[in-house]
Amino acid sequence: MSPMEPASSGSRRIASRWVGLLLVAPFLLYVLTFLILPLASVVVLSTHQVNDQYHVEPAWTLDNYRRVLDPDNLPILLRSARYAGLTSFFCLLAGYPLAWFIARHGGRHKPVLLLLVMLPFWTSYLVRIFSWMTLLQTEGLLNGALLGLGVIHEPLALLNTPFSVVLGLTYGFLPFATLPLYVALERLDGTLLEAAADLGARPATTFWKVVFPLSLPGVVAGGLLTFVPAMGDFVTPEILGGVDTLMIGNLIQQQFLASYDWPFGSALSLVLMGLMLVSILAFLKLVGSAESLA
Amino acid sequence: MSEPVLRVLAAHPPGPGRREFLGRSLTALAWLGLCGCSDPSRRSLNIFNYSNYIAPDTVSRFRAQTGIAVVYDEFSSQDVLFAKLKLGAGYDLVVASDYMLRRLLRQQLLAPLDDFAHRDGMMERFRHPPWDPDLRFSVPYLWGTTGIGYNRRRVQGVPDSWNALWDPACRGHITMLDEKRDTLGASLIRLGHSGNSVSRAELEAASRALEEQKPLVKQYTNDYIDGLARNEIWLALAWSGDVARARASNPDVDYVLPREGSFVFVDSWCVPREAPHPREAIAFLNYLMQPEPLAQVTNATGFPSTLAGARRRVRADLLENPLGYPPQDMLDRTVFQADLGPGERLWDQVWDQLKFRSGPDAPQGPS
Repeated sequence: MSPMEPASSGSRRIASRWVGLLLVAPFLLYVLTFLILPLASVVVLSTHQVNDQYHVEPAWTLDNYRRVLDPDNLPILLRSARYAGLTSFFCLLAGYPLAWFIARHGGRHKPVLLLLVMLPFWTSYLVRIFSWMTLLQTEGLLNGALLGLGVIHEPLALLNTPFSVVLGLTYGFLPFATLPLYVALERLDGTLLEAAADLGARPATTFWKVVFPLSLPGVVAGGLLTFVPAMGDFVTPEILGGVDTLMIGNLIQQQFLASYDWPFGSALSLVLMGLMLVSILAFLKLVGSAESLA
Repeated sequence: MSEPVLRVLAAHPPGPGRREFLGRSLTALAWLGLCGCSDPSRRSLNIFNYSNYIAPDTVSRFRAQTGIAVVYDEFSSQDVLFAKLKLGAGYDLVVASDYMLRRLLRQQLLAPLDDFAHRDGMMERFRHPPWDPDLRFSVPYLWGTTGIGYNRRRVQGVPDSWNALWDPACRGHITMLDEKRDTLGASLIRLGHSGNSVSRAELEAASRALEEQKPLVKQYTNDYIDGLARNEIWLALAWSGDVARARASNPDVDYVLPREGSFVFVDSWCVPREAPHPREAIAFLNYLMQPEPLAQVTNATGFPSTLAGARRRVRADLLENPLGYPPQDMLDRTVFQADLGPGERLWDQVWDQLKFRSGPDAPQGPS
């Protein structure tokens, strides 16, 4: 048997390479079919044009990109970034104590508490956003309660405002911030907190000097996981928004489903993707260098 | 259901696309299998209609009578219908408004309806529409007008002018339609222009007027029935039948056709040229376009039907009110929405600009 051994281990190495390839093949196929090909067709489509008969025809032009870069589009882009940024901020603000509580005080109930965080996903997002309408409208629950308690005397205009859009987005994406924060805080070594206390640090100091820096990966992940989908959302501003609160996602959706201007919609989507990619990479680099400095 | 819901839920995968390129790029979508997959041995029918535009039991009664299974989908804007039809979304029967019908016919997207049986009962007004004089490709279904739905308790007097929609006293309680033809059209008529204008200067003036109105406006939406009924919306650019529905649950709601003039519309059933089940589509039309089922539709939707014989079975309050069957002098002030031809692009641009690129965030000053 012994003379056979080198050959057999060699063929085993080759075989394992094939097995490896076979194992990643479904994933590669998936990425190719559902990411690369559609993206490539969007790129091609963005160079087309729509004629007067509403036919999309090849034009090999950069005209659609020129239209995207029109300064008129800047306000809606900035508005979308502002809403998405606020959404991230509020998700982190609300998600942090929630994640802290579950991670540090959840005890044996942790799985149940985590399930509760994810429970809203069992109901359609649209149904949940519609229910915010009934809460926020002029004769809705919130206004009714505030009027009844005598806090206000005139119903507040809550619905169809920037407030209601950011509120809806924050509500919708909260779990995306909570879960990464939970993971980060769960991993936190409790002895570090005791050490900080023993060395005379007050709770606030412990938080800012020990807990927060260590949870930074969770903060970054949670921030990105909420910012990216909020930036592209169109359902929330459409339902909860008013006349001047539509976001870039609505503009893109309008091109595809109403104006029948697929080429312009494609160019818009690609520019948005590019902008997001660049800003996220820049942000991660910034965070990375900040972390290494700390 | 609301438009976003439909846009998400009604995302049918395209069939063989008109343009191979689009078809191929969307194969991925088709794989998701959002379609009502059809068993070839069972007869089925895919209907695409406006939301709230049929009686609740029309489809089930048809199914009980014929055994044909129906996949029923809704849209809330004609633009969505057009985008879907251009993709070849596999619908057998769709409802198109007059101007959209012209466009669909011009692009030869429709199939002739030779086996449809009930043309003779149509009201004279709709027997020979200019876009389809012999009703070869379309079956006029429901009709109505665009006007102002309002709340009598919250609005002073009768808002019988388009200016009422610019009334600062109703700030935050005004809605306009999320349909460029009606909203820009009403603004055009208010300024004394044709509601079908394709003049850039006139359209931009209409858009500027809407821009000035924006601080008063709650939303551009086609979902206003509930808001009117709950006193949330006081003034709405609205379609007559929708207001009738709101009025059914809130008697304070009323409707007026502005004196400057407005739009009348008729929506027609038609069969896309590439419909997979054209025979079932005709069977549905032959069932629906009879007095009894149509009267039920009118009673449920508030929109009068085109069939003269259906009128006798319609609810009395609809018959007496101008909402249901407006008197002739009111109708004389209305026009059909014309096919804009190449001018449609201009409307799209002005509409996009108004909806998305202006407002408090936009750079101020002369542009």
